[in-house]
Amino acid sequence: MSAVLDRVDVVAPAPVHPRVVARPRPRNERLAVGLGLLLVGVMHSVNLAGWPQYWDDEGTYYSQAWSVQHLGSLSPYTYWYDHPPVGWLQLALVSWLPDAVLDGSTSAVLAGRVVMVVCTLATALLTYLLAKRLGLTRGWALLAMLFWAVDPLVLYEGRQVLLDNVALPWLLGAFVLALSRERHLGSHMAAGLCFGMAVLSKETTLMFAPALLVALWQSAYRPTRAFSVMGMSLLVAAMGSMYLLFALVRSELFPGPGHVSLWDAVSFQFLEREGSGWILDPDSPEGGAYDTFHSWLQHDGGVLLLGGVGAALPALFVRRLRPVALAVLIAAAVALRPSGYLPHMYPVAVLPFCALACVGLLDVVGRWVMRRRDVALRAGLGTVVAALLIGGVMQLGDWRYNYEAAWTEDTNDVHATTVEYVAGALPRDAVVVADNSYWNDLVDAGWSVEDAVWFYKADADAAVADRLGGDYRGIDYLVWSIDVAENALPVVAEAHEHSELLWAQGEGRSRVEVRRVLTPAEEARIEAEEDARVAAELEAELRRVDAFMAEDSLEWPDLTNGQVTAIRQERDTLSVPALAAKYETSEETVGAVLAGG
Amino acid sequence: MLLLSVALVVVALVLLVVAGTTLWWQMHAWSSPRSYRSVGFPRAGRPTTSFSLIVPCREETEEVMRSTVERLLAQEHPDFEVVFSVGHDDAKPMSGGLSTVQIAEKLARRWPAQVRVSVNYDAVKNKPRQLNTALRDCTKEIVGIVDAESLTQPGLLAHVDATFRSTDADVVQGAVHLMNYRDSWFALRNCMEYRIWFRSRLHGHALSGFIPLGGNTVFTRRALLEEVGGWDGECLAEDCEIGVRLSCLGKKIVVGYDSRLATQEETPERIPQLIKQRTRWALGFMQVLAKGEWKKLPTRSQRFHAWWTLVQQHAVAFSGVVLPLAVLTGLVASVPTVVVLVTFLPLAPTLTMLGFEMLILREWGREMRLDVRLRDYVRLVVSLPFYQLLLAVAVLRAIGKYLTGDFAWEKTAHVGSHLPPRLTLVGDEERAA
Repeated sequence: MSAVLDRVDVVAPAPVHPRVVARPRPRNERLAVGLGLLLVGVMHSVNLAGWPQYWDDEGTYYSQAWSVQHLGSLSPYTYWYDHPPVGWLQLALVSWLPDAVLDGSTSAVLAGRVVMVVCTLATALLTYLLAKRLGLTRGWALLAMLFWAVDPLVLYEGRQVLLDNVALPWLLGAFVLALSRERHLGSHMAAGLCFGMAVLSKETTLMFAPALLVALWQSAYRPTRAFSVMGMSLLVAAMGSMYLLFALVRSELFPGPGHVSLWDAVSFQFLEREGSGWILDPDSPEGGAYDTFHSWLQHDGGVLLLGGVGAALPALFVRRLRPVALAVLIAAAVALRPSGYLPHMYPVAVLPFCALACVGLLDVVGRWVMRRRDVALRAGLGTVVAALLIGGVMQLGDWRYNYEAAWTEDTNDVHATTVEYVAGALPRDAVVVADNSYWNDLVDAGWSVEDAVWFYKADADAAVADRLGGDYRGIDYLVWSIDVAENALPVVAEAHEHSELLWAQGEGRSRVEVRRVLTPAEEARIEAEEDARVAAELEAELRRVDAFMAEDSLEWPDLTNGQVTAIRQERDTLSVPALAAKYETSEETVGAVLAGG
Repeated sequence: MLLLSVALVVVALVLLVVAGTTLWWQMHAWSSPRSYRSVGFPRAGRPTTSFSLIVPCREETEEVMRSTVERLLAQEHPDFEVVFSVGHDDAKPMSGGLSTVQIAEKLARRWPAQVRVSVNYDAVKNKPRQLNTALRDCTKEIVGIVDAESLTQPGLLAHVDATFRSTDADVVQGAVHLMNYRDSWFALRNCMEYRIWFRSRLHGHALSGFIPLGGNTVFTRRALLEEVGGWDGECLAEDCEIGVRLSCLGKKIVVGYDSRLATQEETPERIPQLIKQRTRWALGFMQVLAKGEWKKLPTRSQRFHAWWTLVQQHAVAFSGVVLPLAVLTGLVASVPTVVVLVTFLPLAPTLTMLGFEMLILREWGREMRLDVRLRDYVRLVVSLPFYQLLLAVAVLRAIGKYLTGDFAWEKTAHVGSHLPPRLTLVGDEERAA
């Protein structure tokens, strides 16, 4: 019988299935990972409130989480399916805790940033676990984790309240579960749930689906592989369907008059949203893909990003590294499409994979070298690996200034003083338009959720536009930050044109102005005053000229200034004697006047 | 409205638990490499024991009985006997004017050395009583039960023998497969239930320490059966009941599965028969639950597992009806969006199970060399809600009968549609190999 199998299932009084005795995890591994995480935690939380500068999106996600907690709605405005809401639902679930602990002397968004640090720690741990699932030894796995977590670009992106940071632990968790050693169908289905959570937290993580499938395919037990793939896919699909169902139940799946729709939002994000040029094209629009790409490289010299892409190409040919290599290359290919929207947080999700591809490749090369008999080759390649490691450590020296900025610079002092000024100077019943990084601070300072208006919504949200009366005159004050200045839509831009400066602080990109929007009457009065002032100035000037003309010339005392000017003007129509006769002076004087002109 | 919302959420969460645990159990065999592999019989070796095979019969045709006994006599084992268990009142002419008793006696005369007839004279007839009578006529070491309408594979006894020897088991449960998957719209679902039960779920139950035994292709040491006084003559699920008692006694029950050794049976021909069969099972499970033997299981987790096993099939039958209703209510009634989403949650495990069932069908078709086509997959999917409805009807009937104390035996008729050579080929090929 060919189907003789190794054992049978038995019901017996004593347990006859030996439980797999888990190899006790060495204590020093826990210690090493624990210390690594401590380091990461400290690096990511020192000066969290000061750097980087708060910006619009952070406030958006935080205000939406706040709205879930306090208003019971997905957003302070009409939720329009810009992103699936699961990301800020999670944020809402936990951000009340830091919010309650923080004393309120800093921006409310800081509570969101604290949650981001927790996400980063989870991601770091999962990066370590994933590295081990990929067959890396403990040391390399720890290196991969730290390589990712201490990279200045990660430090910069990881601190910001971004959906990508929330999605990342789920994404990596999905890979860890798909590659679980027990190869249990339950793990594979849990991987599907995690991936579903990742996608519902930030929809762009969907692009990693092929990489996850490859991971699952490699890891699953061959006879039941179809079950694993089916289980995982169906759970991802089920979670995705919940989102569609959500839209359907609210009658917002398809476009229609008078309501937002998932359909519209998706077609905006993927079809209508203006592309920002090609990532490698220097002529692409300012602030476009090319600039965004270079801003990523600024932080760490491109070590993690370019190194990751460079390592991913050879890693694609190493079976165990193939899933992460594929993840990196998919993200690279998407970024390299000729024209498309490329937001600055785009690389967040791929960076752990970049670190894994780099370190994984080092591990592969290291092992290969150690197996060679050829001493010279071993020495040579060993030197190369060592040089790469040393180069990596040297890089830390280059990154010193980034760390210094991250840990010491207060880029949010303008934000804080602006909030202070606004809270002190503006009436609470006034409509204040600002970017979303101010929204929660305004609400905390006593503005109602209707009166604190996110600048986009004054144009884009029909309900808000209605409330404001359909034009700029519904707006009382503007907090004019760089995010507003660069992205203001017509109504807010018009409000800016019809506003006066009350207060300003900061220089360059951190400059913030607080402006008062003028009523038409005020504007008319100011215009009239201005006209009167100009007219008066003009009259005074005329009087001054008249007086001057009547005075005697300093050079020719028998002539007034007016006569000197007249002689010079009339030189072409009258002869010198005629001029002398007309202005009762000598011909010599006329000659001198003309010569002097 | 709040009340409706709360009710919907509670119902949905219960359904989610029911569907989730069902999914978990059903998928046991496919859940890990270890459980996938650990289902088989040990290698057949030199025979060491002997078998009495009881074939309980009630209103069977000669064709059915003859093919059953012929398949049994073809067993590659040197020491076994076949005991036809019949009722003295079973005088209805079945084939060629002969009653079941007469057919049994005719077959016994045909193979006098190996086939005997045991006649039960109880006033009230049912399967456990016939089995208890037949047990007294058994002479061999192991007693096996093979239903009259089923076809055994030639290597079965040799492998069961090896299992008794190598595991020192008290009971060995073999597998039964339904084969006529295209005979009716519900046949395929019925077949899949058997496949999942014997290929997967039973092994999960075995691991948990509580197992509801099946009534066909189950082998027990005769001494043990005599010790526990045989089957419960009042119970409609005598197989399950004795399984509970043996589990409580801490007896070793071994489950062996190999699709090529699975006994082949047929699905009920029409809906009323299916419902009758399911009513009997459900009623039997209710009896077992009420009898409370399962409370004697040693550990709390085993008791909980036993309880859940006994009520779960009723829960599943109901959830098949309640789930669509809950979902519809959620959609139609104006409840908060989140409540609607919650009512949809149980659909996730349900549809996932449906996806798995398609793969199980594919695997079964490959193992049994069946020509499974696209339309079979379509039928598997489309028939799900209707089949659930049938199961729910059966459970409702069972509850009605339980409340009125109607425990009469409703037997299902067999026509022998599993007999075409196409299906028996599975075993023949195995023998050739």
